[in-house]
Amino acid sequence: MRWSNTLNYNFELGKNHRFSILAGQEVTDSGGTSLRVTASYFPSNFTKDNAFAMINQYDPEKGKSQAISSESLPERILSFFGRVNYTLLDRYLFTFTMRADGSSKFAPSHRWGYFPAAAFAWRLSEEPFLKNAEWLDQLKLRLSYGQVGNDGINSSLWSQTWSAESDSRQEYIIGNAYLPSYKYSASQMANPDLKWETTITRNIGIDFGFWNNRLSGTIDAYWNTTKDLLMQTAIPGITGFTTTYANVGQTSNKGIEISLQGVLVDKKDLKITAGFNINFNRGNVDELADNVTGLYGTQWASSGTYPTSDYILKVDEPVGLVRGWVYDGFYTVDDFTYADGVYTLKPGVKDIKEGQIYAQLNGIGGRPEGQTAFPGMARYKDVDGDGSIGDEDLTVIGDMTPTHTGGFNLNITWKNFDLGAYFNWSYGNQVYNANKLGTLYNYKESGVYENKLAILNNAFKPFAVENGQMVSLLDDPAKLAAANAGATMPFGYNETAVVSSYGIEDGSYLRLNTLTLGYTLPKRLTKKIGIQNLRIYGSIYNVFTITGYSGLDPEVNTNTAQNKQAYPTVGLDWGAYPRPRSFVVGVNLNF
Amino acid sequence: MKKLFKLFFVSACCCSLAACEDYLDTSSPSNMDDGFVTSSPSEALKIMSKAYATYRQGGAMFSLYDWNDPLRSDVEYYCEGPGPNNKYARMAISETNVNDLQDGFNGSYSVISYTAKFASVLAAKAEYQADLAAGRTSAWTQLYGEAVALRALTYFNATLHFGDIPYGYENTAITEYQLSSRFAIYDKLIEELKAVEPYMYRLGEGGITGERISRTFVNALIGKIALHAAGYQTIRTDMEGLYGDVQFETKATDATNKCAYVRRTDYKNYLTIAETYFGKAMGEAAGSAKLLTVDERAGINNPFQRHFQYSLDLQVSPETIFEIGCPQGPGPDGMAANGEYLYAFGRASSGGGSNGAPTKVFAATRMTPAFYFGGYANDDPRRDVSGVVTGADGKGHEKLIPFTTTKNKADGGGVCLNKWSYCYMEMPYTAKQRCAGVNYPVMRMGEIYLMLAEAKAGLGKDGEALSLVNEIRRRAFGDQNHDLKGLTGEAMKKAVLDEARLELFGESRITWFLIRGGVISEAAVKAQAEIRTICNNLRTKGYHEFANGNRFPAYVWTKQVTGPFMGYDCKDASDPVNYPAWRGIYDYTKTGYKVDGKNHNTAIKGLFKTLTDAEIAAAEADGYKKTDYGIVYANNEATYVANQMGGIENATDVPRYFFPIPFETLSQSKGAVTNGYGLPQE
Repeated sequence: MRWSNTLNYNFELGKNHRFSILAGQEVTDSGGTSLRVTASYFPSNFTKDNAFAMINQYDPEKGKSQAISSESLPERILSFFGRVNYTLLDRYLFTFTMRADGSSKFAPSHRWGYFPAAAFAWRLSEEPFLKNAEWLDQLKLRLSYGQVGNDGINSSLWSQTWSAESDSRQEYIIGNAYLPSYKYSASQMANPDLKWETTITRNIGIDFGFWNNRLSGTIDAYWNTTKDLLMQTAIPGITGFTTTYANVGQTSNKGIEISLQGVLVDKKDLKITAGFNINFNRGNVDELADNVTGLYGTQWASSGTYPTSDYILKVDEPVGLVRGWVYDGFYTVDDFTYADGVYTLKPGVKDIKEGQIYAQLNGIGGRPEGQTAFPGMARYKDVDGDGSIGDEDLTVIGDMTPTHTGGFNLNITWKNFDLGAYFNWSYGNQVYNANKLGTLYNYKESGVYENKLAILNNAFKPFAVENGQMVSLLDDPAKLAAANAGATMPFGYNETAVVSSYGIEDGSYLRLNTLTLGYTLPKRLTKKIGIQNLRIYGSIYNVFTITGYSGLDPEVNTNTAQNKQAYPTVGLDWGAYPRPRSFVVGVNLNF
Repeated sequence: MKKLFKLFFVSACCCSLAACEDYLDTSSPSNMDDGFVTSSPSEALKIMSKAYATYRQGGAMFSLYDWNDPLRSDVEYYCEGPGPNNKYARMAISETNVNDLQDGFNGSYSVISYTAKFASVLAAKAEYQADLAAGRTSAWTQLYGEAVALRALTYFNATLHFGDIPYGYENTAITEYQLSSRFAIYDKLIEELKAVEPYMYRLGEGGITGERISRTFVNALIGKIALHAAGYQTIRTDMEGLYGDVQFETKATDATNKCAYVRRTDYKNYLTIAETYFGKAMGEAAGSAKLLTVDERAGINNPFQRHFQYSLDLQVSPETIFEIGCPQGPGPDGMAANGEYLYAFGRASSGGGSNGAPTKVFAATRMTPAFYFGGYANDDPRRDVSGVVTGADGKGHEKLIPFTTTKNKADGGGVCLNKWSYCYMEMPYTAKQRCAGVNYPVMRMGEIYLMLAEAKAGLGKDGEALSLVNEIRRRAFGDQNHDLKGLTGEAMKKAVLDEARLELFGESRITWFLIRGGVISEAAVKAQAEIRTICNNLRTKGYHEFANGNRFPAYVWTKQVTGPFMGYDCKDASDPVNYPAWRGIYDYTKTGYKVDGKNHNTAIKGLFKTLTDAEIAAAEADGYKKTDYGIVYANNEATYVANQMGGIENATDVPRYFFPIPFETLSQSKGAVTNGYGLPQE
């Protein structure tokens, strides 16, 4: 239910002062009930309609039936608001608003949020000194500041209550019979300190149009801050819960957006228009709550992923930092001395600490006890300089934030033909290519000699194919070294999926996203059969992409909440479907 | 006037709502408060239902094949070659990942959260307080005791598998927390259990069966916690002051991984507590629980097997002290609860996931040939109840289980645990795997006898310890002719351990007898050396002969014979079909399965005694075929050595048998909580 009442009063003081005052109140209430009845094993002559109509006619010997009902906790908001609009001389526009919102989703002491806003606009083009300028169609300066609240969470998160369990697996069994059970209403730990999330927007902008709008556009600079971010966050399992909802911190976005539209040619048979927009945005984590470490992980190779948290939120850095080891080539045969089937690392060559990762090597040779390195294994930088590679060498290896993104388009209309091309780009961002890292990961069920992706053609190989048979090269270091002289990639036999800078790539691209060619049949032909307009067109989507990225698509569209993470796993390329190139032919008809 | 009226009406509406602050106080009949859900004992039991179910489902009791416990001893191992599923049994710390046991850790604390919350709600109830003040055992004091005890059991299991852990932070918003010493946790748990135990029902009283926590179990649990407090265990040496004033005597140290294998110097105080409370669990608090010494079945006399048969009959054995109830088949909503026990630890079957004969049984736990052939006296009826050389092909036929290491189920891994076998169920559930309906055992009377014997031997009461061991032996053999005599000191302690292997094979207990006894590393190294000797003899002589005269042969001769029928007690070693006993195959046509062929059972010749050339010729003439057996074991010597706690290489190694505390609990602790023993931090 939503019920709003507003009271509006408009008046003028003299000729130059116009006022509009609004006061209002709003009530929303939502909730619902559910009833679920299930049964199985119906007589064979029953159709699904019969079964729905007579659900109790299932075979109780073989089948099972269950009925579950529930009534959700109402979600209610009570709001009061007011707005004053003041227009001075039709050129200076002032708006002030104030809202007070009360939400049932918070504890009584945190229910109310107060959200003021103000805006100012100056129609410069209406000023006497510009009003008569022929070249100017529109010029407007805008300034605004506003706060908006968000309570977008479930209702029952601030206090702990009980609900009936509906999943039979969560019921105990005594004497082979199910014992009904009561569970916590929310799987998250209750947090009585929850309060409104507030987004503060600050904007300064100019709208302009010149030369009969041959050139028009807007320029905006903004600084938006979201404080008391209301999100699910991980908590230590020792509480009995793994997540809670909390006000986890503050983020902000600062940026400039420029958008231009131009009419390049405007003739009877030929019209060419072009548009361009560019956005420089810098996101920032302003602060994190005390119990938020900022570490979160995609676990794309489930518990085999190292490190567990391959993303990190850092104060004064943008969202989307990837963390891992810094790739430093791979161990070569020269790094080892060989004796009796065992490759021993030479003194001074840095090893990965024991237990840090697990490189499955069974069947392909030996290492001394306590040594991780093996010829062909990827090696990493000793960032902290302690002489070996370990947790302490984990560092930020990638920033997924672009320097700028944008697009441009060109539309040409010539006689009855129309052509449109729409480009978009991203520049300066990186992509976390987990697919590439995944080819170096080899879980226990995979063997050493199994088929691999073609990109491993140039990887270090412990074997050769001689006379159609696979033979091990490991018992002859000289042969092993010779066979791998041209190797450009480490071998792919790690039982641990290591996140390293080897998988971080430049994700800049320019893409022709859409190309459309259309032809509108002359009206004199179509009018005869009662058609106002008939246009035939063909479009190609995802026409081409210019990029240095080695994966399938630099515009990664993997689920940005991989591993059900509350924080965004931006820039991750893992198991996504390739973007299709589609060809569309269509007809527009107007009668 | 009309305008004024409208204005007035709208204002009134607004004000009435503004006054209604409680509009934002919402409730729903589906959301209940503490008072509602504890309005009566039967309502309150629904919260314990959730807690028990969470224990079963949430990984608290079963993570990674019962925490690798039944795979980590000198007589037990895992059914496949070394891999992620047995890395903790092998103590292969370098292969571990920080979140390997995340579900088990977090699931344990979820049980702790429910039980702690429930106990605190009950403690505030007037009815409970009145019963307690009157010294009355009631449904309320029973429920309170159950909540406290399930919490204690969960914390105790968590210390066994994670070592020192954060204690007491459940249901609290925390920004600072630290590790607690396991010894401090044991002291607290013992005190809490001592306080609730007098006000709980014994087994058989107040409608309490072995599927709920009883006073009987709580007494035994106090004893078991005290026994573990007293025993040898691996502690951390990288946490200054963690163990407070507790002093230790050290068996071994590991400077690299900063840990030591120790026991507390005042261990006898704890052995005394264990002695007292095990005594109570067997005596005044036993209720209906007892050691099962009589087998009422016609034609069968095997009280030891009778206990497991109860479980296969989906009944609670009188010997059960506590087990977790599991349903057979999917629930009314079609969801199948965790019925993993028989799937993981049953007699192997190579059947498919559904509609098998029987369905797949992974059979994680296997018996070393050294123990199967050489560990039991030939007249010990427990051997064939505990281990079996054949499994099922999943299509209604018995088959010899080879020693192949690349295959599991009945296709590899060797001698299999036999205590829980589909074939001995009256009507096996074969529609779907993992829902056989067999309960998860937590404790039985036989284990209490042996734990009490361990405590008494540790206190120097050798005579009493010996008579407890002999009671177990009399139940097994059915006579007093097999009594041990005159054992004292170290020999007595060894006798308890030997009996634990024979009695508790495959029940996740032997590893703890070894760890507490301070001998697990010695046992590992000895078992590995024995595997090497056995393999060498198999390769050079074609068999390995044990002290009891049995031979583990490189080859056996087998053929499929008619059936299907089940084997029971059989002492005639010359019977190739019924000996070894307790095998055969169920008639799966009874379950509606279409079993192909005529020959369902497996006859084996030359299993314990190698055949002469003449016997081989006769057997082959009779249709028997030479079948690879021990030779496959010998050919996989390195794998079998690695599986036998391969992470231990010297008898003086500190055993590192713990799981890592998961990352989220480490990372939010501001450095206060770390993983020890060389386990990963990230």
